[in-house]
This record gives sequence, C-alpha cells and structure tokens, in this order.
Amino acid sequence: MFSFKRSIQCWLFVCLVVVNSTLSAAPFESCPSKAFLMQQITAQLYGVNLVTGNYSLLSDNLGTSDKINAIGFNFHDNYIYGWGYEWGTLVRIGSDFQATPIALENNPGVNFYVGDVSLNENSYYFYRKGTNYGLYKVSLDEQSSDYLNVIKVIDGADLSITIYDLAFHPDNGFAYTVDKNGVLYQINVITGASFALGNVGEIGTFGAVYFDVEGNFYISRNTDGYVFIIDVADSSPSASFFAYGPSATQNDGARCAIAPVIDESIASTTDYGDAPDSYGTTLFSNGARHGLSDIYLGNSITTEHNANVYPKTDQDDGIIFLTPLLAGSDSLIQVQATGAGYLNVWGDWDRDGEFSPQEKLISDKYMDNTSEVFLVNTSSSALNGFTWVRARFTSIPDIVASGGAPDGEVEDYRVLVTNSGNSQIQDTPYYIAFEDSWPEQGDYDMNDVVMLQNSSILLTEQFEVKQIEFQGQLKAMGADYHNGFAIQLDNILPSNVNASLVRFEINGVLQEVSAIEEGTDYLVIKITDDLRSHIQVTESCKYYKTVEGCTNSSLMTYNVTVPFITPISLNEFPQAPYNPFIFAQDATYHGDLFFHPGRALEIHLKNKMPTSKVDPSWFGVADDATQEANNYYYQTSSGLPWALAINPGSQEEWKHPIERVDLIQAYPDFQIFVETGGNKSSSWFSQSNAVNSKLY
Amino acid sequence: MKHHLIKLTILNIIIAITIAGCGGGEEEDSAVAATAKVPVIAEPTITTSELVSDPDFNFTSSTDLDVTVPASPSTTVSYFINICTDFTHENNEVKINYESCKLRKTLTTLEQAFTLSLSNAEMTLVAQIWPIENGAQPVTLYWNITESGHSWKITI
Repeated sequence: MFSFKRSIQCWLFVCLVVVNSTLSAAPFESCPSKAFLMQQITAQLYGVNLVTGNYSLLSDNLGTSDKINAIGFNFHDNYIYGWGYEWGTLVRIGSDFQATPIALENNPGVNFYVGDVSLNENSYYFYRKGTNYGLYKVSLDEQSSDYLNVIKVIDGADLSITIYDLAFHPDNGFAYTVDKNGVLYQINVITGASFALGNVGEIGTFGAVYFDVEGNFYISRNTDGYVFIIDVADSSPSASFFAYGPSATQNDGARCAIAPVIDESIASTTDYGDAPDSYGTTLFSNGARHGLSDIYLGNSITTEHNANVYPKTDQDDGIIFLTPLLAGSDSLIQVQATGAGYLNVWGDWDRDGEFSPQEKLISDKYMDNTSEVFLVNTSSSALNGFTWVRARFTSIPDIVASGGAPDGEVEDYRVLVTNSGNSQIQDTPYYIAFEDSWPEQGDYDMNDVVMLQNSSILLTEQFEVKQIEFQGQLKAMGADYHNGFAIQLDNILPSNVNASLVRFEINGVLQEVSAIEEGTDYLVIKITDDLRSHIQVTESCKYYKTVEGCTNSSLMTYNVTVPFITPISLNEFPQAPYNPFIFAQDATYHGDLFFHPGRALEIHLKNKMPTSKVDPSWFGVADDATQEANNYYYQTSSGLPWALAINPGSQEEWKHPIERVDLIQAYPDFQIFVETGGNKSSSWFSQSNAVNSKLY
Repeated sequence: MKHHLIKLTILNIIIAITIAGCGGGEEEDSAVAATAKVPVIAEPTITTSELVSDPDFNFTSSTDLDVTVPASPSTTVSYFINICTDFTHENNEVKINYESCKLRKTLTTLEQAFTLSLSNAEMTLVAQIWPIENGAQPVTLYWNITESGHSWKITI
C-alpha cells in the first residue's frame, strides 16, 4: 500500500513538473480593490466589494473538480495562489481564472485551508493545525535557491490554533488571524512565534480574512456572511460589524493588501447617506452604504466613492414627511420603493448625534415596487427641534443603522420633531448682506459678508414661543477683515434660555462651545468669532465666492436650537429677520480708525439696536450718523445702511454682486425702491430685475 | 363627517383645477409678452452712495398674510395642516416642497388666526390638510394674493 501511494505521488509529481513548465496564463492586470472569495466543494471564485459586501461570481469553472483553499493574492506577480485539493499541491490562478497545479519539493502530502502570500517576500505561507503539521513556507521567487521548496517554519505542536484563514499586514510583515473563539493572533512567520492580541468579541468560523492598505483587518464569518473590521493596532482590538457579505459553509479569501478598498479609478457603485458623520456616514466611520442594484428608494439613486457629508447633500427622493414627526403621536410619511426589500427607519430622538438601536421609527416593513403613506409613531421622549432620520431599504432584513449592505439605498433627512399641540411658523428666508467698513461708508457691493438665514419658531397652544431655531449658510465673504457673526433677540433675556437643551452645530458637527454669549443684556446667539476660520481661501483667491473665476468648495453652515424656560408671548417676541450682526474679531485689524476694536465693534441692519457689548463712543464717527435717542442706528447721514436683509422667498435665491460692483449696477431697481421708501420696486432683488453679468 | 370631507375634497379639486387653469392662462400671456419684447433694464445713473433715504426706512420689504385655520372636522381623528409656498402640479397631483411650509400645525377644536410674513415674491400658497390615519387623503386649497388679498380664511 505504501509503495503504491509513493508511486502515485511520483507519477503525479512528474505530471506536475510537465504542467509547471507550461504555466502561461496571464496574471491579473493590477492589484485589485475587490477581495476574492473561494467557495463551494467544486471551487467557485467570487469578487467581493468589501465596502458593501456586494459580490459577484467571477468563475464557476476553475479547471478543477475539487476544492481550492488557503488562497492568497501575490502582489509580486499579480497571481492568486492557493491549495488545490484535486492535486494536493499549490495552484496558481491567473486572469483566465484557471487553476494550474505547481509541483513542490517536500510537499507535506496533505491538504491545507489556511494560507496567504507574504508582502515582504515572494513566498507562500500555509498552515495546518496538528503535531504532524505546522506552518510552512514555499518561495515563489524563481531566483531563489529555495524556489518551490517547502520549508517548515514551526511545528504544529508549537503553533496550535484553530483558524481558517490568515492574511498579511500591508506594512509590518506579520500575519494575522482570528480563531474560532474570537482571539486575534499576530504571527511572526519568520520564527513562527504567535501572540494573542485579545478577544475581538465575535466567535465563529472566519474562513476569509483580508487586509486593506490602511492596515484595517476584515474577517468574514462563514455562517452569516457578516464582515467585521478590526484595528489590529488597537490595544484592545474589537470586531465591529462592517458589511453584510455572502455566507457559505466553505469559505476562503484573498486580497491584494496594498490596495485601498475604494477604487476611485472606476465609476462609483456605492450609495451613501449624507447625515453628519457622527451618525456613521462616511466609510471611515463605517457609514451606512449600499451596493448599486435595482432596489432603491424613490425614482433614482446616486452613487459616490465616499459619502457627501452634510452640509453637502445627495439627491434623495424616497421619503416625504407629510407632517413633522410628532413626539408621542402619530405622524404621516410617504415612502416610494423601487424593487422589493425591507424598510428600516431610525430617528435621533435625543439629538445626541447618533442612531441607537432603540431609536426606531419603522422596522422591517416589506415593500415591493409601491408608494405608500404610513402612519408612524414617534417616541414620546423625542426632543423638539430638527433632527436626523435615516431610512435604509434593502433585501436584507433586520439591518443596523450603519455598515455596508450589498443592495438597496440609504437616505438621510433633516426633519422637524414637535409636539402635536405646537405650531411651527417658519420665517421667510433672509439673505443678510453686510458692508464691513463701518463707520466708514463702503463700496456697496454688499458682499463683505452674505449670510442666508432661515429661522422658525415653535408656538404653544397659548401662542407663546417655546423655541426658536436658526439655520444659516455663509454665501459670500468679500472681506479683508476678520468678522464674527451673531444674532441678537432684542428684549429677550438670556436667563430665560434653557441652556442644557441648546443645540449648536457648525457644518452638522455639534459644538462644545455654547452659542449663548455671556454678559449681554439681551439674548445673543454667537455663531462664530471669525467667519474666515471656517473657509479655505488661497493667495490668488482670497475672497469667498465674490470674484469671477474664484470658485470655492468650502461650506459653512450653522444650526442653533434655543428653547426657553418660560415660553414668551408671540406679541412680545421679535420678528424675522431678528437682529443679525457682524463684529470685529478680537486682536485683529479692522480699519485705520480703531486699533484692534474687537468685539465692541458691531455692524447691524439699519435701526437695529446694538448689543450691550458695543462701544457707544464710536457712534457718530466718520460716516456713521447713529442717533441713539431716536433709535436711529447704523445709518449714514443720507439714511444709507451698512447691511441689508433681503427676502426673495423660498423659491429663488438672492445673488450678490461680484467684487466692487455697486449694488445699483447689479440691481438697478434698488434706486427706485430706496427713493420711494419701499413703495415701488419692492422685488428689486429678483434675478429677473438684475443685470446678471454683474452677479456672482 | 368623512363623507362631508370627501365632498369638500372634490369641490376643492375642482377649485384647484380652476385656479391652475387661470394661472396657466396668465403664464401664457406672459410668455407672449416676453417673446414680443426683450426686457430692458435701465442703466443706473447714480451710485448707491448717492442715494438718500428716510432715517426710518429699514430697507426691507415683506407682505403680511392673515390666515385663519379651521377647526378640526373630527374629534376622533387628528387633522394636520401644512401651508407652504413652493409647490408644483404634476400628473394632476400637487407636489409640495414641505421645507417651504410657513405654518405646520395640528388643527384644534377652534379656528385659529396667524399672521404669516411672506416675501413680495411669494404670490401663491397651498394649504394641505391631512387626516392622521391610515389611508389618509389630503384636502388641498390655494391662496393667491391677486384674488384673495392679504387675508385667507381656510375652510373645510
């Protein structure tokens, strides 16, 4: 029997030598971003997008009738190597997806299902538990004296771990694996020494493991296909759910570890949300994402290489909030689904910037090519004000609010939560346009600072204001000076603000600093001490969106929610546009009239009162003709202002003049508007009344 | 009550179609005028700094609209009203941009009056009243400043 087996092996070896000499399949063209997954008893090879878990069959005929396991991608020659069970030896797979057996000297004579190709050296490492086996290495370098000669690195008695795959780190040369109990191991393949780095918190058969170029370690569990991500450099490494991948009883993975998981050289195939990143939006934050498919919300789906995080937005069209979300009550939303799948919707009821599993509005609602109006019940604990809602629609039920899914779509919405007894009154949007040269008359291009200001109030049933919310966006900044921006609510006491519930965000990021300025007589909501600090400009384009040809992708938005301890009678509450103003940043140049005037220099709309922090001794200086006794503020002796509040309505935007273009040159009707005291040409700001060539 | 509401819905749809028809006619006239005459924007003769304004004039322009929202037609089903500025008609359906809503509230047992501040460019509004129940169908009504002036008493 023994001699018969030896003779078979000798015959097989001769055959393999012949085959080996005819290896000719072309390698893969490049180091691919997709992972490879080998499955089934008769080997089938899949390509897996780790970002979403989306996978597709690459080949169901690899030229073998048996399994191939222990696969690894060799970035030294761009071939996949693995262990072919049909031949009991190493196989090489090229771009034709055909496995070619390779004869090995000192072949251990058994099959292996754990292996990968090193990045530091052109060698294939493979492992089998057991005292008769261990960790082996075979050189794939034709110039090496050990080419295709199997060397045992360490005996199985000294390296005894129950593992199903291993992968090489892109930088440090170590191999990593997770055993069935969830213990992460680092293996020094030179010495065979292994180190248990800690339990990652997930158990199972992790038959496919991969690295990306950033050193992120991905492990795929056979039973459910879940892909987890592990930071192997963490002192307490843990496995975080990453994507819903394919499940199988038999799995092995390979990946070019020096490739990023996102290949930006090809068209994007992934849909992301656009909520602030605290909600898990970008890939870096393991955000919600879906592979492009025929399943989506609404009539269309957008794809991105990575998420457009708020204030950048996607085009979402699947959900319509027919009513605000009413805390503790039923509300109406309309959902349009294309394709069949499960709808899950979360809401950030406590406004902590995250979706918890309990913050659910809809769970696993099955929809199949339909548009429906749903009655939904919002948690009674939901805080009043605008918050974020996330909807995910996919063929996979019971998904979580972040991580990848192979199909479907995610849509994020900024939605109002209120109580059923409240009324929301939304003010007309205002563009607040400033000249920042006060008290000297400016050039009236009205673009030193342009801020779009939206505001809304919540009224109680007694017609009292219980909360005000501002949402703004910097539209232009043609200023040399460093200006801060704030809004005063005249005659409203700051002590009436429920400070613990104030929520202040810049670009969707919760701010640690309070928006309520201290030491003022009336409530001042301070957005920033320096608008320039939020915008990136260049030496050649030092202004923000005021000079032709100077585009700028920077965005600066803010959201502030201010609840009041004691609701304020609507009749006593100031009206939009309220009292927005700019002020000089402390310790900065703001013209030749004053040395570093700082916070005490304010510029308001005409006849809007300054705050108690202003230096009144500067009134009447230069061109300013303020008469405090008559409540005439911030106007010249001709009655001209340093700031305008322009409300074109919600369907039109106001376009500011380009740099150094007089307002009248851009909007000729402004002359009539002023000369008639506003009785004529009251829509002077409309684009239909503008000289468009003079607008930015 | 629901039967009454359905009748009102039909009536409102008829009104809506009528209003929409009127609006279309006006647009057509405008289009004819636009093609017949190229709009000429007069060259300004002075600069902004040469303007003179009354010290009380605050340079803002807006329009106030007094709205009376109706009492809820039911004590068992809640009704919710959205009053919005941005809407279009597609396939005999009104598409509303709910981010443009000026007033959003649950109807109470009494009529309630509100004053809404509008831009001078906002000439029309839509009010949509939803019963908050399964299978909800809204009642949709319109306001046009040319026809209705500065007050709007909404009835259902």
